[in-house]
Amino acid sequence: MLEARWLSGLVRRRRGRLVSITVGVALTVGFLAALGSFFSAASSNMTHQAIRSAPVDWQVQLAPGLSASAGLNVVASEPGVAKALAVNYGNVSSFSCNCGGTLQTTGAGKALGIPTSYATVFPKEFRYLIGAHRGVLLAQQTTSNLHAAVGSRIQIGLPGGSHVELRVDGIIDLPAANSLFQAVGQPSALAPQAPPDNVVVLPASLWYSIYQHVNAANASITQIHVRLANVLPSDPSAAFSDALARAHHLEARMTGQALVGNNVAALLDAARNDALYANLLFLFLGVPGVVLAILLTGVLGASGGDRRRKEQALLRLRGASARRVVGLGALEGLTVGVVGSILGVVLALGVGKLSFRAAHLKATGLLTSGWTVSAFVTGLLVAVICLALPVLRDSRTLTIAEGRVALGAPRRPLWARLYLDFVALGLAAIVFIRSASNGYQVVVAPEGVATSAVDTTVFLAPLLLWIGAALLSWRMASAVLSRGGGVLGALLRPAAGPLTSVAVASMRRQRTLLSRGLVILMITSSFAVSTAVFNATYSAQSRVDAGLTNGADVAVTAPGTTGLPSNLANVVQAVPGVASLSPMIHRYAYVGADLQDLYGINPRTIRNSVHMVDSVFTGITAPQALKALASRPDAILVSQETATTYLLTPGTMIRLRLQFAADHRYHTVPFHFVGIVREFPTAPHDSFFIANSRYVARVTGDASSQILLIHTNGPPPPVAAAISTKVSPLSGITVRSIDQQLSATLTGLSAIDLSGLTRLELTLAFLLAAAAAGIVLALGLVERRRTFAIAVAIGAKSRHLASFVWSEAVFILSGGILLGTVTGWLLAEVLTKLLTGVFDPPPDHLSVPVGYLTALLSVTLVSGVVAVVTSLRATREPQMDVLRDL
Amino acid sequence: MPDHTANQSRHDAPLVRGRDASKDLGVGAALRTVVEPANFDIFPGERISLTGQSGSGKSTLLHLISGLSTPTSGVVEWPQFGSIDALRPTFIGIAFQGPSLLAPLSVVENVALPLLLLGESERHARSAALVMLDRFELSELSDKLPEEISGGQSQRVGVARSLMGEPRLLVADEPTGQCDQVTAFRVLDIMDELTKERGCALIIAAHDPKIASRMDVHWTIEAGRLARNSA
Repeated sequence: MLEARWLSGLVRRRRGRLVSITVGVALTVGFLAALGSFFSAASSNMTHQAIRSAPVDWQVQLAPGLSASAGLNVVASEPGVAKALAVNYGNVSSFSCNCGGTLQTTGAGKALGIPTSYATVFPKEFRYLIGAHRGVLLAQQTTSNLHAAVGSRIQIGLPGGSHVELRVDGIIDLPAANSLFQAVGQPSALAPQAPPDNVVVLPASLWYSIYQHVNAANASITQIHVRLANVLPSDPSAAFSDALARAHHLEARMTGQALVGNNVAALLDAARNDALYANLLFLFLGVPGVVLAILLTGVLGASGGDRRRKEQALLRLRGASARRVVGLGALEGLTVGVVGSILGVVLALGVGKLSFRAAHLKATGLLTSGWTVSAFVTGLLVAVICLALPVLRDSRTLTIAEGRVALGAPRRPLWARLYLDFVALGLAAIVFIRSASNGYQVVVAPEGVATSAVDTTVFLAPLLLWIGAALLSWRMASAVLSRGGGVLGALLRPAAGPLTSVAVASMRRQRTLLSRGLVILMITSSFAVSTAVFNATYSAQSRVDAGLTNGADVAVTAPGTTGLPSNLANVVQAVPGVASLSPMIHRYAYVGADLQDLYGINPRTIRNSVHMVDSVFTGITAPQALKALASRPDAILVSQETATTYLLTPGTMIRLRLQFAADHRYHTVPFHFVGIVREFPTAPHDSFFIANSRYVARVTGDASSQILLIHTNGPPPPVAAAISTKVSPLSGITVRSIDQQLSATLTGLSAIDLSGLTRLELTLAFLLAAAAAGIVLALGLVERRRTFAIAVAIGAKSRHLASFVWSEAVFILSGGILLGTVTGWLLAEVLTKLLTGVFDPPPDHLSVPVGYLTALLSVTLVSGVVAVVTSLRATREPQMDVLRDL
Repeated sequence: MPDHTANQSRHDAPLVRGRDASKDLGVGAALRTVVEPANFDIFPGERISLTGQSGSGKSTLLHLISGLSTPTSGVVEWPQFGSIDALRPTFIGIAFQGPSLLAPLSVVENVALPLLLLGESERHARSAALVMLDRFELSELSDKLPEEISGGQSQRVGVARSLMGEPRLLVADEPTGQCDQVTAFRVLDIMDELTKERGCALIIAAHDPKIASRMDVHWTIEAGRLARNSA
């Protein structure tokens, strides 16, 4: 059977070509399957983490008048609700304690009534510090305010003026106080409500016995806390929409008698944005890699085209129909496709195991994922297109006689005549400028809106830049070869000697081959450079982000607005590994009716402990901002959001209300607005102020610091561990290193194990760049095997051939690497700008992964040199199979 | 074992000397002896025709003579030329039966190449190439690329190139196989003139008895066995 004989012949006689195309298909499939499955798993992981991190999925607040039992019955019967428990929130006018011989009194607070099983169902709401886990549990900050302890007797003031005395059974921390005491139903545009400073948690029965006699209006509210069953989809956007829809369904059922505080939807809202950015990263970083792998496979498939055409023509001469010849090409493509795709899936499994351990990408998951199937089909298509399509094309456009002769002189390509390179670059610039004018809003996901999307048109900017730069590189290379003979001759003369003009002429007439090689190397180099620079910038920026969230290498934070012990700074300074530290004041200040965070710093010394980046300030650099803050005692930096919300402009006086130590009341304090800040270490992302700590301490009469920012001269984790031993666990003080923050951050793409993705991309880029250099040169030389054989036959020596080959190799390698590096850098700039949303804050400049780029350059050069040396070695002996055809 | 070391009266050392030289091609089951062990000498100025059927081993024998391949057994030596590395293009010129021009080079560049390989200046090589092309009546093709000329023209350019290094032995493997008879004889005339002018020995493989008859010495090869017919 002809088909079997043909395949057998190919395996025996064209093994190298088949193997190289199979490897190309395997790389394509492996990369696509690994990357796609990784992102799929990462999205699912994001959803899982978001759901898991919600202390309570829903807080259903019942309207006054609706009994807890009635509300509980309705909520519990809602589909998807796994557990529902009623929680009562009672207002407390004051807490007081006659402890340690002095009477301490606090401001207003809350008394929570919880059922006995609450801590089991919602374990993340309470952290038990000391004493019993049941009974009267006093919040740590309240304990501190009252100077109370386990066993102390405290009085709580009830609405209406009565008091109740309680014995403290245990002391707890409320890690999720913000959501626990959220104002359910409050419009999202309003600033979140600060949790109460004073809280006591009581058994439900005790709470009822206390509050059943309280008749004052709005004395208490009832919420049903809900744990949802595992019913949400794995995709973050779908899960977000589902969580919203379920909540709306419940609200509709309860006909206005309940409002749902949808904690899980809020977390999924953030996760879906992260997932969209993950998809963007896939588009920006992953797709080019796949395209490149396909391109290289195509180049391999196209190699030996002349020989294939002759074989095809011979088959036709021997009587095979055009259809049968095409069928043989398709059979070859399918065989290579199946083998390559299977190898690719195996490769993806290996890569997944090595790179994505942290993403829990299981082999079975990979195998069953749609991505693997898609990748497999892609592999088949790539192989068939690379191997069968040229056969089909030739069978339609060439006669048998034409197939047996070499093709004619290359024509100027259509794109060059239409100047598509300049068109593509122009369009890329237009798309980029348009994105810039929109503030690089790539992900369109309005807060609270169920639908979100990626503005995929921005993808056109880097894509068109890549295509335009590649075509322009082709045009430039071709122009140099066709019109730069003088320059080329001068450059080649030292190596080529009397053969210079022949070498130049040879290069000029082979400009299509050489330009193709240069452009392929340029494309792969640009991919590697842009990926490496982007990933390095991302990695560096993740650390800056973690630094902003954590504050410094190590941050010591007091609970609430409680001051750190006055001697703690001295104690910490003595800990080995501490290079410097900066105390920071944290207070709350009213701007209008809105309570916002206010931080007091020493602008002259804070940079000793904290890495400040320019991009967190608007219109000024970090040193300029700190200098402005130091310029006058009452200077203040205002967050972008506050400045926008309250129409504040730098240079004006603003008045805030701060709590004074003397009377615990809020008083107006004037500040001079000197600049806008977008983010600041330890500060929230939205609204806050940065002022001089001395000024804040003086006007409020309270010099206590709430935060210590520490710069270490070694790895932060051991220093943090050492500091932790110096603080009492009862104090509520937390010690956190930047590394803990990096691993704990759920914002941005930290939710994905990006290091695995980075490893995969950088490895692929490395392989592609190395393979491209080797393949381009080796194939170019293989295609001219006949030329070299003739040259050797008429008397050319190795040194003569070397002058030809090295001239071309230097042209391709230097041009490809140089143009690829420039394009890669531009691509990284564009990607970084377009993915501003991924970076938080945006980087001041790109990071250069010197080690990787050096290794990349080395491996590319080595690959090219090996290809040239190997080819030259092969030309030392006359190629008998070629000579026998002469 | 056939002995083709005739013309013992000659005093010069041979240009090429083959002793028990054989050549195997292929590997494994496909291994076959293409040239059986043969003894031969080619002396200065000698004009030899080599005839035989397709696949009889003509080209392989010419490859052994011109140093393009080495014998599987026995020896091939070039007593007057030195080592195998020094043969081309200084001492031996080769004209092939198929298209053998370097595709990226123009006709004149192809013809000038042997001189450039010998280290001649570009200007001298080019002018000499133009003279040679003129001799072969190919001047009008000098700036054409190989793909722009016919097979016959390409073969004539190849013959012109083979004579450029002023070789002392011209090895021609059916050098006019793609030319019409008139052109073929014209090319052979020029080859005759040039080789005789320069005292260049010539061995030419040919199917056409008319071409073979123009030579002084006739070798035949059948199934790899070399035989000498006449002198």
